[in-house]
Amino acid sequence: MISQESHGPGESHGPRESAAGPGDAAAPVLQVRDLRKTFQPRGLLNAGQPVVAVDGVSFALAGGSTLAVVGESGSGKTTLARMIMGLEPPTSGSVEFFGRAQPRRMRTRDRRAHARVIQMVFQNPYRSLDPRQSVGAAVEEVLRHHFDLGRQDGRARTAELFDMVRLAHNLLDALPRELSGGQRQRVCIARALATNPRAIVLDEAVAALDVLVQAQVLNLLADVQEQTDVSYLFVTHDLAVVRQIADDVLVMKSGRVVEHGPAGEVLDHPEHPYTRLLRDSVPRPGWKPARRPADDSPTVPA
Amino acid sequence: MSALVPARTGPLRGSGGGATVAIRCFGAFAVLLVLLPLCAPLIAPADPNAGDVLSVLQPPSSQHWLGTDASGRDLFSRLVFGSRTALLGPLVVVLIATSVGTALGVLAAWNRGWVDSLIGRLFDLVFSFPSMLLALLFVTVMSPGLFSAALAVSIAFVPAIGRLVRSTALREVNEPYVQALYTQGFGPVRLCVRHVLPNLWPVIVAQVTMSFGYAMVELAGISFLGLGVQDPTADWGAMINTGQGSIVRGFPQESLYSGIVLVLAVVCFLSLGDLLSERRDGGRR
Ligand SMILES: Nc1ncnc2c1ncn2[C@@H]1O[C@H](COP(=O)(O)OP(=O)(O)OP(=O)(O)O)[C@@H](O)[C@H]1O
Ligand SMILES: [Mg+2]
Repeated sequence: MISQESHGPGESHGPRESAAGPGDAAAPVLQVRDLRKTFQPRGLLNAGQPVVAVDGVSFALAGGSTLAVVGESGSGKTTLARMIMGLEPPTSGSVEFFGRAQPRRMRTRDRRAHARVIQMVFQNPYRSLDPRQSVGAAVEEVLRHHFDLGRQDGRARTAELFDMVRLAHNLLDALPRELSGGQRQRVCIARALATNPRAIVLDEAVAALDVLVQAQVLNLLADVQEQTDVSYLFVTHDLAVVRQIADDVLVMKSGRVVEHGPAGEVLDHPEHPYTRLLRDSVPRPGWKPARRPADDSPTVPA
Repeated sequence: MSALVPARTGPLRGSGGGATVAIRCFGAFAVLLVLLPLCAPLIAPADPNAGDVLSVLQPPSSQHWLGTDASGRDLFSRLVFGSRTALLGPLVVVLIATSVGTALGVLAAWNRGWVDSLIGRLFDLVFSFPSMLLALLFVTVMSPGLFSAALAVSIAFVPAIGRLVRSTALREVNEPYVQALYTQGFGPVRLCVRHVLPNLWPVIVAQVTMSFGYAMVELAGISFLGLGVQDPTADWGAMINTGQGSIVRGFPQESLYSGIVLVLAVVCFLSLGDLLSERRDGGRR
């Protein structure tokens, strides 16, 4: 069905792919070691006091698995994701894909190879598509940049990707502003899938969507994972979502990892007080939107 | 130039219908102004450079609709042909200034760091030079004429366009869509040309239109000083100058008419630019 399915990062495709090249097939898709990022605030008044956004984060992401990164706003989740994506050079530490370290400053060919391994879906679906480009063209552009496809094949493969994320074909020529938030987020997912990546970073990809669409997109992600064995790094602050989709969870606070382990274990028996706080500050299962959150009596519907 | 009447800036179409009508009117006038030099030989009843010593400083008549100048040349024909240099000059200016300014502005916004600082200082340097002075410098080094004057004004206009493009591009470059494309491994040139620039078009078009008007004034000023277009070529700025001699003899028509068409044309382009940039500001996503 998918003509490029075999073009995994485990195979060599000439000099172009060398930067993220074959690497070690047994190594995890993504390995982050002691990653740190400090921002030096500019400006006259608050100069001097650096902000430590990410502080010594290490983890590994195995093939076909889902790692959730949770933490309050400002805990450094987006900064972590941006460093992994090469959008922000780390202050120190390393990011490895299949055991191969990512260069600190990536040139265009490095980024191109990198895009074949990992993709990102950004936090804001309203701004992550070029407002002047039809959404079909956006996906097709990425496809044809990475694969040697003619116009016809590019078009056909784009339609396949739209099927995969359950978007109607009549939306291919629509501009982003003509789409709903959920539809745009699906376009972004389709675009991320276009390169057949081994991992996708989703930065609060469903946070802006309503509960129903959120559930659809989550199911969609699960289906895609089943089909392609892609790994997810799922940034969220919704613990209910974590329980639903994640294998492992990493809890961040002020740039540090305070807890890391299998999702069920961490959520059921949190060891760190901060995790407990996070868990207790979200609605439990059985909570009804109609009821006020303060109402703590555990009523289970019949 | 019909691209100056865009109907494509979608998001806030309905809002400001009055502005849209005004844009259409000024746009239509601008198109007429642009057609004028192209059709000059068809419109002008006489050769603009053919003098007749027997009919100098004639009042308007059926033969000379706007009268004649001190050399007996038909003023109406000279005004019509004068539109050629009056529009060609600013056209050269906006072409050079916009391409150089846009390239530098996008370069600065994309690279930031020392590239940005360097380009910023360059803009400051050029900006601190009065454009008249720059023009004087150029016509002395080269030779008086439309081209050296236009080149000088182009350079003087680069900082304004460059700074505007830089600040707009800086905002655009930080948009997630650019970052998403960046992570896809697109090269910086392709990203800027295919994605960033098209999104800056509304800003650039508004600025170009306004610069066109300003360039007209600057070039007319230079020609007025005798450093731009040279006699006998007809030019509005130069005609204001040559007409001065006859004002004291009681014949203000040459300076007056060329002054009026110049002001009308400049007002048209400035207003059009103003309206376009207003609509752009109101229409930001
Ligand atoms: N470019 C930057 N310059 C300076 N400080 C920054 C920059 N980017 C992020 N920070 C700071 O780093 C910290 C972490 O920000 P980050 O965006 O990673 O948080 P987050 O966990 O994604 O939050 P949210 O859940 O709200 O998206 C914040 O204190 C923020 O102010
Ligand atoms: Mg964030």
